[in-house]
Amino acid sequence: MLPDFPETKKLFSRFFRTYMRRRAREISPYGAVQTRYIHEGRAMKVTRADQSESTSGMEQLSVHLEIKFDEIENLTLQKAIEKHDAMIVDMVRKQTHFIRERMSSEIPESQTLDAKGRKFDAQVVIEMFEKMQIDFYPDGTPHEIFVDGPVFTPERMAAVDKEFESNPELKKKFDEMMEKKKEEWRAREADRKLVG
Amino acid sequence: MLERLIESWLDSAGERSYQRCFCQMLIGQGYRIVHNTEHTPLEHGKDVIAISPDDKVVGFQLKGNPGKSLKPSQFDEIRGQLEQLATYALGIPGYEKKIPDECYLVTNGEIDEAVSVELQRLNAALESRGHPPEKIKTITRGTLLSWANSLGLSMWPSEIEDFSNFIKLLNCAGDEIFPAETFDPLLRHTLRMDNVLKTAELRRRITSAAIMTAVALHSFSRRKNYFAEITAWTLFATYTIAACEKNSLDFNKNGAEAVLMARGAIRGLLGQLCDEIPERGILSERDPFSEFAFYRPRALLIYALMGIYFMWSDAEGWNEPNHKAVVEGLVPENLPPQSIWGEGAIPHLLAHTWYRKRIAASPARDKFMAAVLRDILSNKLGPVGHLPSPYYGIEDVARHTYQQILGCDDPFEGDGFERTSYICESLMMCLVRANLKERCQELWPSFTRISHERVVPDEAWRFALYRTGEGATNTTHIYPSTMQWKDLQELFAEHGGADIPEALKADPILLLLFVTIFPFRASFSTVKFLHKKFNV
Repeated sequence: MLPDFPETKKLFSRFFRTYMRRRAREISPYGAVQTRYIHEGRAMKVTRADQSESTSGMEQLSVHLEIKFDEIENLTLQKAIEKHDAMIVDMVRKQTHFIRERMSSEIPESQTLDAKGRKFDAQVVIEMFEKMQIDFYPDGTPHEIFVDGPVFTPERMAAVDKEFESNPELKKKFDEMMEKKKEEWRAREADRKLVG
Repeated sequence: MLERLIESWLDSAGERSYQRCFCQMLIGQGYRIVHNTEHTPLEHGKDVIAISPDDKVVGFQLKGNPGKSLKPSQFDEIRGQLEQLATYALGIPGYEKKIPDECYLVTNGEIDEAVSVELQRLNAALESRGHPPEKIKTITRGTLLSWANSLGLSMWPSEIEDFSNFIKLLNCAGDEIFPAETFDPLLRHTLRMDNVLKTAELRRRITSAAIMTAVALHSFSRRKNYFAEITAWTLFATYTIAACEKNSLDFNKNGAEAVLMARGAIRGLLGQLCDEIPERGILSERDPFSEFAFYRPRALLIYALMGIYFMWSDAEGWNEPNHKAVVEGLVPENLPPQSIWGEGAIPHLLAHTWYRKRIAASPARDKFMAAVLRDILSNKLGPVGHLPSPYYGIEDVARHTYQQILGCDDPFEGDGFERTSYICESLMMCLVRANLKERCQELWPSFTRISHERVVPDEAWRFALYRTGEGATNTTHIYPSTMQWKDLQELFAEHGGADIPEALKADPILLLLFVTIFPFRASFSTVKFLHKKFNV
């Protein structure tokens, strides 16, 4: 073999692994979601409080990383990072697609909203939130709500905010709905009881 | 190459470590071991007594002469023992007053020519007293090597990856935690976990795996790393059980004898650990400046192991009666604060608790368990520093905690432990069974806020492996907000253990040891089962 420097290369490899994980989290719409390792087994099953169950298997996602022979000679750290960046974007795209698909198939009908072609506006937000179970912190502020999907563009979100600000009727409706959600949450929490 | 490795092992193995392998080789040749000094005090010079396949009583006197010859001066020291070996009646139940039909002087070295002459004289003297000619025969290095090759090596996996794993084990410094992840594929491949085996082949492969275990432990045995040896022999025992169950072959007929030997070795090693601790005075090991990260977790592990040793010996009789007082003096009544370093510490806590209950049953023990559950729930629901799952060990926790100053990878990278637990259900079950209704009611709101994880193997035999492979389901269980106390009692009263191999259930001590060493096997179902067996 040619002379090589495996120990130092291992350190670079470690850097790229860490970089990929961190960068993927930064750019993924699901980057804030808690991740878990599955140490053994391939199947997953969730039994919920209402005894409903969901089972799912694993899905292998892979992306292609290519370095041509003639690129190697002039490869710099910056270029190597750029190669990884392209791969990360591809992987995050696949992951996001997979998550959206899995959520669409797993979320029960009662928790979905068909906007029937309406544009995403304040009324749709109220209807959407009404379908959701929202949790609150002990001080009464709601848990963060993350949105993902083509309709949730920054422009549209800003427009919705403006709509709430300019329409007191809608704002009142939204606040009442959130108050109702808080009451539901309080009732849920008060229901955490071992009785009898 | 592997032959040379076996030679090298034999040429440096102490008497005890080759005795374990020797017994397994006898079993592989159809012998039934009825006495082994590693498990019981010396029996009139006979280290091992076995019944041969043709029903003869055979006594073996083992000597360790690694890389050397047995010299006349050493022979003089054991002449009396050999004479006893050949002429004294046994005191073993079922064989009382029986004199061995055959006797062997066994050495892992050679026998000096002058010793051979002395042995001939001793045999002649015995013959003149009415014993058969050549009453005492010898087994030396050459025979042991040939047995190791035919019974062991011939069935070891020959893939390059296995070879590399084997070398990795032999290259270990010997003072580290036994790398089960390296040993696991070797055992799986030797026992052909991916194939169907017939009786004869399974039996041969069990012997082969036992020899591999002894040889793979070479570096660890040399360093007297008892915990590493206990780990490896425990794996050998559980994999043997798994192999029998997987192939639907009767464990009692095909694997029990080998597991019994491994079990004896483990108990002997626990005894050696018990001997070592009082000599040290403190449960620390070498560089004291790094002990802040390891002392308490190690102490809890030692208390668990010694607790198991106590319960084991109490049930089956103490081989070293003085050890009872040693354990009682060593294991404290209460654990020091901050003993719970991760969910992996909970099986250690359970072993400690069940041991302490044997010594002095007190409701305070269950209340302590409630306090531990309260702390874990509050940790899991808190903002940071969540206790890791039982898949992470003491070393992982230290590396994660001190990652910045150690400059190492974070073992927890990509994993999360918030609002999720593998062990809280088991602790809640202990409280429910102890009828601590008020405590359970206090803890219930937090208990229902987290998701409870279980790994359920598709087939019970997979439970006995270090990793189940693909054949398991990761289940997440979310409890209803409101539940009736009676319903919870009913749910937690179930025996559990449906996903544990039958032969492992029949040996609760081995099972408890297995989950103590591999805390991720302390599933809800397993703890329910063990609680029934050990909680008094």
